[in-house]
Amino acid sequence: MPEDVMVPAGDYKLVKQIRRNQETRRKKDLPWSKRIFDIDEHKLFGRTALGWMRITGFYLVLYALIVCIVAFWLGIFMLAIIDPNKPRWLKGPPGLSMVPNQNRSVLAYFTHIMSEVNPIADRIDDFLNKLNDNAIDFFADFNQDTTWGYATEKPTVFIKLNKVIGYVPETYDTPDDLPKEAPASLQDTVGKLGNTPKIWITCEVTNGPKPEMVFYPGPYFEASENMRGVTRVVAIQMNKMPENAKTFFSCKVWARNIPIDDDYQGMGIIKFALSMRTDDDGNPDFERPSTRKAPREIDLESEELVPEPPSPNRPESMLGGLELPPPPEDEKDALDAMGNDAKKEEMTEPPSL
Amino acid sequence: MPPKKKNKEHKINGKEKKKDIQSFKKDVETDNHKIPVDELLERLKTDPNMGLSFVEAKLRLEINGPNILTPQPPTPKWIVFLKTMFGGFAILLWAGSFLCFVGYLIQLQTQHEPPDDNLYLGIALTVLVIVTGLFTYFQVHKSSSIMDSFKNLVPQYATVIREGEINTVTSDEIVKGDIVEVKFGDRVPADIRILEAHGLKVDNSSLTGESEPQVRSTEFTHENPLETKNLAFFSTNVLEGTCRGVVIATGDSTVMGRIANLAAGLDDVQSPISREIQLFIRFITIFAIILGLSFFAISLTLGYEFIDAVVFLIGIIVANVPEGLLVTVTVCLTLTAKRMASKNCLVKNLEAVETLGSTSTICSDKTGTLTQNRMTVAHLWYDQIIVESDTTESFRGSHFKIEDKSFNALFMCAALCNSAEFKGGQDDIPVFKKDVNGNASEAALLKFTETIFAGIGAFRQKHIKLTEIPFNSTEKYQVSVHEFNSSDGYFIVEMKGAPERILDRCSTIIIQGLSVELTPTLKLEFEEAYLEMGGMGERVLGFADLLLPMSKYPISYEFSADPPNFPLENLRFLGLISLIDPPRAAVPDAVAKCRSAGVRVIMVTGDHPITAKAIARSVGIITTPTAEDIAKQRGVTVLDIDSRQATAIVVHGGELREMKAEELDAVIYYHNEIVFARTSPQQKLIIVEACQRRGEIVAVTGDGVNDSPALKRADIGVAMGISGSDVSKQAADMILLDDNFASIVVGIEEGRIIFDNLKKSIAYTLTSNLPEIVPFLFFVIFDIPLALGTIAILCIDIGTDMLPAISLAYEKAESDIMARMPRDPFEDRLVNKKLILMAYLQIGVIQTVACFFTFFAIMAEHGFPPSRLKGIREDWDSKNVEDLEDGYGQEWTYRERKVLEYTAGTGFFVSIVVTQVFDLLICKTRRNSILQQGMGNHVLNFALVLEFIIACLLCYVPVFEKTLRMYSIKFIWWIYAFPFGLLIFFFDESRRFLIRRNPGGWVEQETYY
Repeated sequence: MPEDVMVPAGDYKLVKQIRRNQETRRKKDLPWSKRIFDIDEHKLFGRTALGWMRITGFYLVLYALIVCIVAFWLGIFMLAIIDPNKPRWLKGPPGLSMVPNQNRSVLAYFTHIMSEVNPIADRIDDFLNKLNDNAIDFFADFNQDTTWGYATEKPTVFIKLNKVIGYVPETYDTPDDLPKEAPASLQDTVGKLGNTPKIWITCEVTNGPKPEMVFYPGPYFEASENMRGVTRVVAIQMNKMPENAKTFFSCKVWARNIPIDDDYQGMGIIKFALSMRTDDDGNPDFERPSTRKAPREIDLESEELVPEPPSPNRPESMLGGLELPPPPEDEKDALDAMGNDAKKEEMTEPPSL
Repeated sequence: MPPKKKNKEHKINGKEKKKDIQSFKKDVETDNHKIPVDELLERLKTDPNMGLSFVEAKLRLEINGPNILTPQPPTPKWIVFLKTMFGGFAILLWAGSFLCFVGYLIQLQTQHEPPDDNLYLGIALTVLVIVTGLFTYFQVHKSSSIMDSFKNLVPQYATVIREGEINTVTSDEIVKGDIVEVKFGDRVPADIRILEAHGLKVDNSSLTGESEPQVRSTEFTHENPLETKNLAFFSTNVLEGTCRGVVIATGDSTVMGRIANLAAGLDDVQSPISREIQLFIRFITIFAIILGLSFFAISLTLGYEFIDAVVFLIGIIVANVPEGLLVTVTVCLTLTAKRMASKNCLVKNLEAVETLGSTSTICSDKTGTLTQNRMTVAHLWYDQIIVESDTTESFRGSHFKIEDKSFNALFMCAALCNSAEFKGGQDDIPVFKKDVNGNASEAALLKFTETIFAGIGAFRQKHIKLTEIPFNSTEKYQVSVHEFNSSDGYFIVEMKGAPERILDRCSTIIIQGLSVELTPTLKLEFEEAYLEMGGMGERVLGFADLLLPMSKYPISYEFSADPPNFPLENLRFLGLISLIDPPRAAVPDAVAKCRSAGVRVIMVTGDHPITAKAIARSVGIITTPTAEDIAKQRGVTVLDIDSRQATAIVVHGGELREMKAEELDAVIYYHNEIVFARTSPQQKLIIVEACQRRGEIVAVTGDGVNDSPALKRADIGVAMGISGSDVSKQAADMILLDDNFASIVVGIEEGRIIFDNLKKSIAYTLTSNLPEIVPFLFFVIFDIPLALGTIAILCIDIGTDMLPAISLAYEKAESDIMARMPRDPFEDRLVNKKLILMAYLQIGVIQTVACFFTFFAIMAEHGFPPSRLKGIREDWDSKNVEDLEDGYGQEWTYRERKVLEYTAGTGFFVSIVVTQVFDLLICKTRRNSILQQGMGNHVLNFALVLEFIIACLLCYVPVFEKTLRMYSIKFIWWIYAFPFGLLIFFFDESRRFLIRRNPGGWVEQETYY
């Protein structure tokens, strides 16, 4: 009977799949209402009330045990680990911060556009107000024009040693103490002012034309066990600020236990850039550097003197600034572009993964 | 309604079958067996004596191709490679890395000094996907190589005549028109028409299902090519005689080739485990995408920048994807395949291992699988007693004494009246393994006598054969005359054949060495012994002799066989010898193991029902009476017995042919112990389908070509490595290298173990998903710093977690794995709801709380208590803020904040490692306590140590600060997670204790995964 032994292809159903289809149909046959709430067997979503109680109890017991362990650890933390007055692990050397801060980008502004100058001044005011009550008065000499010099071509920046609990400064007190990489100007400064412990600060221009930098109270922070308030802040005013040019600054602080790391902002070093624009140059290309004025060397001796009362000339200069003509039409486009750039550059950094 | 529909489908199938059969039959129509030999030879352009010339043969080989069955075209390697590289989770990770690079480019355009994090992450994901894909591909490729090496082990040779000379060539070099010679023991190398035949018999069972040897001759006897005697077919075995023939078809043109191509038409379906893994991948992918896109939208709504939202999306996807899982699964399967190969189970399809573990029914062949595939002397009857002979491989025959005159006479007859011969050059081989020329029965007798009396050849030389009458179906005996040289006569006549025929020719019987008159009482004893031996399913032979008197047959007498000039009557009856193909020694234990494992063994054989039943009873497949046994016991007819009362049944192929599908279903449903005898391969397929209709997972053994559809249809097909045909090996999923049924049991055991171990690996891998996901959710919801970065997640998934997950594959079975019932493939899935609840809502929650506790503790100890952290994210991640104030009034620069975040993130990572160690301990078992299981898995112990070492390297090697954002942490921070780890350990031990104490209770129903 050869027919019985010849097995043609393609005729057979795939029983394996059929079997699974049958299984699927069996479950699907239940109406949806019955699957949710089966009144005959008193089941809600497939479980009876007792079933729900048991499974809920199971998880409640588990989570209660978790809560117990957390409470145990919290108790240990409250009693033995967390001190309300100082952190368990001290932070180490203080970082540096700067106001106003522009996220390493160029702080660019027009001296005659108050909508740009005022926000900068406001940030400085907020910062000083938070410091303590008399900080603004302390630095009042740099705020003759009430805009911290940004409207009168004498911008002021503030460098702050961040507040740290448990930090004890170890200062360099003699020129011989200084490390090799310290600049030569610091040698002279330490020689003259090293009679009391100080954390030194030096600033230099790394790129662009150089302004005249004036430090207040001086190129140092008074070091003490309890550095508070204005003692952690140094103001730097840029006199004779070059117009329509970018100037890049790098400021370092010097103490035995403050390491300087060039790779990271705030690790003993602050880098920033300023770009002051005026309307003096009628040339439409604002990027072109203007004629450079003759630079004047910093007179360190004059810094020791208590500033004299404002001379009659300064109010006149301020008044002259107010009389500047309105901006030309084509500058509006530049302002809009500048605004967009500022927004874009101000984008927050995405989280590190 | 359903039954009616079923009948309709059946009819349609019947019609289609008939149509296809007609089409198939048309293919086989040929006149190669009808036309005269001369015409055929002329058509094939060959000469019967000279054969083909070498040049002509080479030419035809090039034109027609080699004489092999074309294997199914394998999937091209590059397609397999691409599937491995882009399938499953890989596509998700590719998308993640793409988003990383896009994000980095956006940052490059919009930011002054963009961080390198996204670039590093993109590179890491790309490398991960490529390495994982390559690893998986080479593992699978290595497994395929095992199979390829096996194929090369068995070259076959054939004897052909070319240019008048006899040549031995490999079978694949045979071409149409070749003149081939085949002899007993050979395999027919191609379809041939027979030119000369001498007592030729072939075994066509693998082709037609007919289990009796088929006589072949030169005569055209039937229109049907399969029936006519003058054709022999490729891959059938020659059992007796010799022949010369001309090749009429080779390779795929042969009848075998056509059937093989039919079998290839049946589609494969997914194995259970690959289906489970696909479902799992789909589930995880959907969950990851939904969660990722949801929080992407929420992030944009809450005012996050687009780039930040993209980063969340990437992180959530990477956190959800268990990167190491596919590698783990592949290693587990490969490891098991190697272990099984060392136990003679060759797995062609890695995933078939697990299918075997869920097998609930084995349809087993008999000859060669359950039995040793060699006829062996089982019982002897002489001196009015049935004596049992040892049928095992270690038979030594020591308890038979040649000095016993009755046994000696029977022994002599068995040795001398025997045409079988040992093949030469086998002096060092044990007797039972020696090759014998001759039919199976005579070979068995020859080996038996050789074992009793070493040097049977010399004995036969001493009593040389003078003449013989060969066995024929009409007379059913064979006779030979031998020299005897005793004081009573010079010659002796020995006769062997069907017992009743032999007895009819005897007038005396030997008892206790004396010839006794054959009385009716003695004849009755003979009848009883004959029935008893036959009832054991054994083939029974009768023996007789007659000493020729010296006076009538002097030394110079000339014997002739045709017509015989010596007496064939009034002989002396010597006794009975019964032969059986004995079970393999390991099979009864294997069958018992299967039964205790809930696996039913059904014998499906083409052999005689009585023989099949006897073998089934001796190996334990049948342990209870059948309907016939009950009827005999009660003295009634079989029809009076309700067939459902008998749990055992023997179904004849003829009965099966007349059964309807419903009746067959009833047989399978109501009878636990079933033997199908005298079945054709098509009926075998029907039986397999019936079992599958019942919902069984069916394993089928087979070795013939027509077993191929059944092997293909079965959930797992098992082919015989030694006796199996190439087509059945192709169609099968697994090959028994030793043709031993016990090896299937090894496969079942390994399959169950691997399923358990895969579950454990997946449970272990999934638990860390929740602590990896929650940091991103909290980042968005509570505006806190990110607790764990994506790169740290990769460090966990492919660093600290991968080897422990793999090491679970080496875990031994809990208690007795073979004492369980087969798993329900519909209910007991690889990943089920309970496993997910365990991984996410139980262990996962503990881990997450532990990790966040450590994170917040580290932050608090540095000055940022949780209350300060809430809502801080925008300032925290802003580079404009260089003096962020903490809870003590300290001020932090951006850089300092990031270092603290990375340090706390490393603490988070360490907490995952600590809790995963405890998780690994509880995942060693699903039911037993770890005290019961022990720590004997040394690979796992090593993995624990390595996990710790990797974690320490990541935490304390300075180079990882820059590349992986891993910062040194203080020792005490390792301890914060420890109590949570203890909670994991003791809570789960308690859960498993409750499971063991109340089997089937609500704890088991709710939580046993």
